[in-house]
Amino acid sequence: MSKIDFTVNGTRHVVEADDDTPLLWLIRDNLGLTGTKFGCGVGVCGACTVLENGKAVRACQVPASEVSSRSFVTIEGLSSDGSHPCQRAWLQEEVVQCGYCQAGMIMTACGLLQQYPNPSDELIDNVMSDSVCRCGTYPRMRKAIRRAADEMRTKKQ
Amino acid sequence: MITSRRAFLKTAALSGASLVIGFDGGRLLQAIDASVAGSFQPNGWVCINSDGTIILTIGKCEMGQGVRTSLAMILAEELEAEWTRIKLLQAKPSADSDLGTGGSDSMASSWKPLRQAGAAAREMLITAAATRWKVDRGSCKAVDGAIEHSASGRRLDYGSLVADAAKVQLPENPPLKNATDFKIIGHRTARIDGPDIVSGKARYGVDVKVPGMLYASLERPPFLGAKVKNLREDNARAVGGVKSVIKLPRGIVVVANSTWSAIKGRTALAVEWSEPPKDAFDSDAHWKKLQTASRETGFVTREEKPPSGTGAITKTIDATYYYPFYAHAPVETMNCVADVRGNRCTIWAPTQAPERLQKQVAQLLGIAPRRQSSDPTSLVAR
Ligand code: FES
Ligand code: FES
Repeated sequence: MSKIDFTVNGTRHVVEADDDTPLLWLIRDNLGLTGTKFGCGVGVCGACTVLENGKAVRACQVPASEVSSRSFVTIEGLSSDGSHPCQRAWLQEEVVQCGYCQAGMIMTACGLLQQYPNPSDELIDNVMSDSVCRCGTYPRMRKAIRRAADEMRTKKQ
Repeated sequence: MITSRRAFLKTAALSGASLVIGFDGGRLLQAIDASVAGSFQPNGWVCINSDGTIILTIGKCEMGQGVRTSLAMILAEELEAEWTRIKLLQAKPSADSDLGTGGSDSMASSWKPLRQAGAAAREMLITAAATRWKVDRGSCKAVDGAIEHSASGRRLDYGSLVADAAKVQLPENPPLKNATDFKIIGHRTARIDGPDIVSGKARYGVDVKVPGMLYASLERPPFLGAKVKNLREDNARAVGGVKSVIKLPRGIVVVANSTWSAIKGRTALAVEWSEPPKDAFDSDAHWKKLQTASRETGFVTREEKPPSGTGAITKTIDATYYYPFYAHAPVETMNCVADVRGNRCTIWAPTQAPERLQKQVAQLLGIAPRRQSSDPTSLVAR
């Protein structure tokens, strides 16, 4: 057991955990933030994706021993009122079905847009198909990402 | 929070502050006063409260098919209510109810009862308003959660009418709206649970936490009938946080005080399973069998003539569809939370068949499934 000192959604936390505990379980079990989901635990489904400095990170692949002094954002911290351009675009394009994968998908999309503010459909498909949506919402996600991208770019200008 | 059906109905009926209409198959039922509450046990019901909130309690599980949205839409249409004001509650399973969700049947089986219940409530609210205003009920109209009397410009919200409406005789065959008058059904609406999903607030079975709960991870055999050849039980027990290792007829469970310890303990088991028998199911062989069978002479199961007026065939599509033998694997891993205290057990599980689950658990624990204040199971299903 070690003391892990890290920041989630702007709040600093100190928790006790085994060094090999994945960040995912620190977030879900220790902090009780259940918006971030568990799908595979081996880095292939993307359900656990969170952001670090705007980049998408799979929380099941980050051991507690590497977490201290880092800062993450989960779906709960993306905005206080669901007003992030991706969240709004997701609703406007009616993306969700069961919704289980969607927190991870939205975080993945945020990571993509931070790196490529104007992604091509091909790039969107490449990045998003790396995460698993069992309901098959990929075409609507593509539309939502384009919509969010447009909005984020107009805001910047 | 409503804890039991009977307690809820009693409160609803005694306070006289709600209009409650239940539906059981094709039957409409009304809770008039406390004396009938005991016999009033519908599978689903609509409750309109004095504050104008509308609660629809129904045993259909949301699993991405959008049923919470579509059922609210049906009710709102006949009730002439704003559909976003309708709150859906999951009906609890009971010994004699069937709350299964499957076979694409939710809309088909809820369509008529929900429309009837909504229409009945609407007609009763109209009668209550007309009586209060001493006008002909034919001159009153239900519009957006209120009854209006356009001749005099008067308007009363449903909430202010429910106490009176609850005393009105339940109409046996309330008039249903014409499809051409539909304002909600057939029109684009947003998912009622969309905002919760995109903000991480939607709660799934796997998100349920009970204070002090233990976590279990289950190692399943790779095929039916597989036997354990080798197992490092001690290694699993040595993992920090692991409480016990339990062998089941089909699998081995590691119980621990955190999810991660349970997962680590299960990995530490390093189970070696027996080899599958020579004649075990094999996907490739199965596919070949289907291919061979498809070339044999078959029989016609259904034949339909094209509707009259259909033109000549201009294009023929010839295609083969192969539906593989797939696991029904959702991204949410199989999970369930059980809280057993004395002779009471509460289960939270993302399941399509809560009453079957209830019966099996009750049998396992030797407790009777009951429908009243001690409903042994409730579910969180999405
Ligand atoms: S749970 Fe992390 S990638 Fe699947
Ligand atoms: S919305 Fe159901 S898995 Fe993606």
